[in-house]
Formats: sequence, structure tokens, C-alpha cells
Amino acid sequence: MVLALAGTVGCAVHVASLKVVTTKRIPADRIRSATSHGWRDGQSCRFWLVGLPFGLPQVDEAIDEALAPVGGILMRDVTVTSAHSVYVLFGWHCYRVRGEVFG
Amino acid sequence: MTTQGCAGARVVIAGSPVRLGSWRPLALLGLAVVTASGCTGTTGHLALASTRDLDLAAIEKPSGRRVKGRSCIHVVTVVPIGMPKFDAAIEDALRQTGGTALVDVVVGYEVYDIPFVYGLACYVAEGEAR
Repeated sequence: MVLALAGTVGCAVHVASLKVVTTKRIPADRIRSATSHGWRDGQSCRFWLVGLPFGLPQVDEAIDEALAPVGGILMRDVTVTSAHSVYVLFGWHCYRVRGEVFG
Repeated sequence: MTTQGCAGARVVIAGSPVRLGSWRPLALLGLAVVTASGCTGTTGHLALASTRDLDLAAIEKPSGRRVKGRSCIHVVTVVPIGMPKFDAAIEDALRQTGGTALVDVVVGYEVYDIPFVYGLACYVAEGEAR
């Protein structure tokens, strides 16, 4: 138990600040008329075992996770973080996004 | 500085003896080449991304200017000197064209490494600048 706790580490680093980002093709008129649905978070994670990753986390998945609950079409003032959790022999790599959702 | 004949294959440069024909530098170079590796990966597909205030009129007009930007850091032995940022990669791409946004963006990374010696890690953003 002590060894497991001792081997448990994590870190998160800021990798981007974006004024506007979206995963959907939307016309400029729709961007202009979009209204705020508040600040939302999203994340995309992939598991790894003994150093071998099972895929790569995707920033677009994290954005879609933030947009989906409120039917948003784009995010503004977005912060993207790359987070690593390590539990000795396995762990996760995640991209997390936070920003104001418009729709 | 002294030199001896080639048979002795010994040269002293500034007081430091260097054995000519030594296999070690070549072996180390060979080891570096053999262990050097690189990998690339894709970490996102975005319809539109910008680090600047959007020009909404401009983003509707296709420009045909596909550009690639990078944000790289050096890794000395095992120590990264900074962190790559993918907003800096997008900004690098926009700087080449003066656009305000990238559309149809592919975000990826590139890593090149000679283990325990030197590495280069980059975020890469490629898209159409508008």
C-alpha cells in the first residue's frame, strides 16, 4: 500500500490558450449570433500500461465533451491542459479543456 | 603540442593525449545513430482554431494557403528545456500568412530522440490560414 502510494504521481501542464476553437464547421453568421452557455470542462483520456499507451488523447474529443451537454457550437477563451496520472505500472494521459461555451 | 609518427598513432593536442584510430568515438557515434528514434502522432482535428481576434468576414473565404507551424523544445540528456505549446504552433502558422484563424486544423506532435543525449519535442499545427 505504501509502495503503491509512493509510486503514485501526477502532473498537469498548460499546453494552449486559444481565443476561439470548434470541432464543427459553422458559418460566420452562426458564430456572430451565438450566445453564452457558461463555462464548461471536457476531457479526453487514454490508458497506458507498463509504458505502452493505448492510443493518444484527442483535443477534439475533449472539446466535444464540453460542448455536448449544452448543445454548444464553439468555445472561447479556452485553456488546454495535458495531465498525466501515474500509478506505478499504469496510468492515464488526458487533455483537459476549459472555456466559455457558445451555442 | 607534440606529435609522434603514425605508427605510434598518438597525438597530443594542447596537452591532452588523443589516440588516433581509436574505435570509441566511432562506436559512440554508431550507438547514437542506432538508438536515435523519432515518432509522430495526431492529437486532434479541429474545424477552426485561433489565438487571435477573429475576422469573421475572412474566415468564410477559402484562401488555399495551407500552412504548418511548430512549437519545439530541446531535451538535454533527460531534462526538457521548457514545454512545447500548441497555441504557439498555431501562432507560428498564422504568423506566416497574417491570417486570424486556422481552419481544418490537424494538431500533432513530433519527437526525435537520441536516448540520454539529446531530443527535440514539438507540437505541430497544420491548417488553412484565413
